[in-house]
Amino acid sequence: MVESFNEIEKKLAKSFKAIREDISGIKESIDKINENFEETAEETGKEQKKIKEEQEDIKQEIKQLQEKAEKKHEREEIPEIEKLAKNITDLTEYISELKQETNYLKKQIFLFDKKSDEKSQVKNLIEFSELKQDISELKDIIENIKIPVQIDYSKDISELKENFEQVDSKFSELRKEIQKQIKNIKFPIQKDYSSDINELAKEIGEIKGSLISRKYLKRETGKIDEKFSEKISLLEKKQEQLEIATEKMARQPLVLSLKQEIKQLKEQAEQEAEKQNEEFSEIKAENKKLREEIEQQNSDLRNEISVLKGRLTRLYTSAPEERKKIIEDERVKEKTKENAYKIIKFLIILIPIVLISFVIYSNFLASKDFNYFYDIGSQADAKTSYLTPIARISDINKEVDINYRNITNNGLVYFDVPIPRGSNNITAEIMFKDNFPKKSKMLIGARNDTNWSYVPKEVYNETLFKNSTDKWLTTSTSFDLKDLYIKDGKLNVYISIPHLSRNATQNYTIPIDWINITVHKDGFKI
Amino acid sequence: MVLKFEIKGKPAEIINYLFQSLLVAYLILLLIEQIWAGSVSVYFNLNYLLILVILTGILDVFSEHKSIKNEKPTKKDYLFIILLGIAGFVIIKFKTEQLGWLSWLISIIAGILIILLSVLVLQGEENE
Repeated sequence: MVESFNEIEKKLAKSFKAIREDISGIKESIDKINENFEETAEETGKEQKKIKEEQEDIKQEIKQLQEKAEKKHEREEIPEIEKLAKNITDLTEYISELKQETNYLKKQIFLFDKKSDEKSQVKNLIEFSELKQDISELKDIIENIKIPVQIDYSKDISELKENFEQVDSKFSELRKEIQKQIKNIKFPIQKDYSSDINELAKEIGEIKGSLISRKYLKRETGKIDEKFSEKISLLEKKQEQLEIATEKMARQPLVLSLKQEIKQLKEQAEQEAEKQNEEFSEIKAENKKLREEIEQQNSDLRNEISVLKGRLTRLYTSAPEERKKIIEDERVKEKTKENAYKIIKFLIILIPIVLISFVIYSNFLASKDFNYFYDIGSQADAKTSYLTPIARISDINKEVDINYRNITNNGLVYFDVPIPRGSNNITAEIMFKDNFPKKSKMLIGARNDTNWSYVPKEVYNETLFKNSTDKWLTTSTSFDLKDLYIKDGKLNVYISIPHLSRNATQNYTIPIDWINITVHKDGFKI
Repeated sequence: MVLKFEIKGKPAEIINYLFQSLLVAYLILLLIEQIWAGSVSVYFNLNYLLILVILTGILDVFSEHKSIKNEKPTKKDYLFIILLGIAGFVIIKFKTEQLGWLSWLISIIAGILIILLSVLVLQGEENE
């Protein structure tokens, strides 16, 4: 029994060893598959890279073609496009081959997977069947053993059972591990491959799209070329028409410009002709004048000649004494003429001398009284009033033969007196109507400073004139010019009637008929 | 334009002479009047003289003139110009005395202007 158990144990060990060896073999085969897959992945990666590079090249070419296609007039590039299209078709064929290869690889991978699965399953099944056989053999052995030694080997059997269960559990664990490993191997390869396939499919789609666009472009370029050629033919026709038209048009402005030039030339010629006519008429007039002058001179000369002839005949015909007389007379006449011109010239020169000397004499030597008569109410006064400000005098009034103005509000009016240089004194005489109220007066003042300063002199008061109401009166006063301020040869004089500035007596306006100023200037005294 | 009326010979010479002398007299008297106001106008109305100057001037326009020869300006001319400038300076100074220091400035500038303009005119005539 012990031997049989030992044998069973040996057999189990053998079977386990075989299983392990099988598992290691499966592992190795899986590793190999992985290696193959890695190699195929590397190859596919390289191919993908190549395809990508080619795609990039194609893209660049497409770009270039698109750029070139935009230039519709460049028809020479079409062969290049055709070449590129050919390349693209080659590439598509190549891609389709690659696709087929990839499909083939996919299939192979799938078959590998399937085979590996089948192998493992078969091996497991074989192992199981072997184990089952072993177990069944063992069962048979055990059944055979049961009968002779029932009691003694129960423990051993339980131990064996336990051992078997342990082995079985280990075996199940191993199987799970193998399945896991297989799954782990399968999954990444399938995933990588699918993503690559997807990418490839995408890229192929893009290439197809580009090819379609290329074909479309080609078609479009063909259409454009056709249109272009049609347009060119149309343009050529139009060009011909335009050339004909431009020739006609070119002729028209030329003709027009020539016409304009002719017109301008005509105008210029007319203007020149007019000018020449004018000049000619002027010259004619000058000639006429000259002729007249010459004729006049000739007639004068003829007259002179006739006179001279007459003289000469007289001289020749007369006696020698008479001759002398005639010659002397003529000399005297000529001399008198010359003298007359000289005298006239002298007199002309004398004019400024006389004038200047008169002014000098009048200013420095002569004694004179200068009289300035200011007729208030006269026509001259009506034009520009002698008295200012005009607001303080009335309009011109008339009383029988007397024209006058009234000194009104404020009662202070001014006037200027021209003072010749070197004057000594001034006498102011005034004619006025006595319309003064009681205790009133009238003053005449002469300016004595640059500021408002006057030398006042009373020309009317109640004591000076008695019982003179409503009568025209004259009064006068005099000033020494040494004390007075004369500006620009003029002395400023005022007439002041103070009662007119008061409200109570402002209605007593004083009529003024005239003012007579006498300026006395002493002569030069040695 | 050709003038039909033209005074010639001795009468033209006399008219020219008269116009010049009257103009000079008027200008001198006007200058005196401007410097010493009233010293001329009180004794003599300058407007009458002005009328005479205008009339003789009009006659002078219609009378024959001797061609003027362009001569080079001499030292005398320049001296005369300087004297005129000084005279102008003095007159303007006298008339603008009330302005104070500004009177000096104005009169000096005016004197220089008179001299420079006169020189320019003289040299312009020379160039012609």
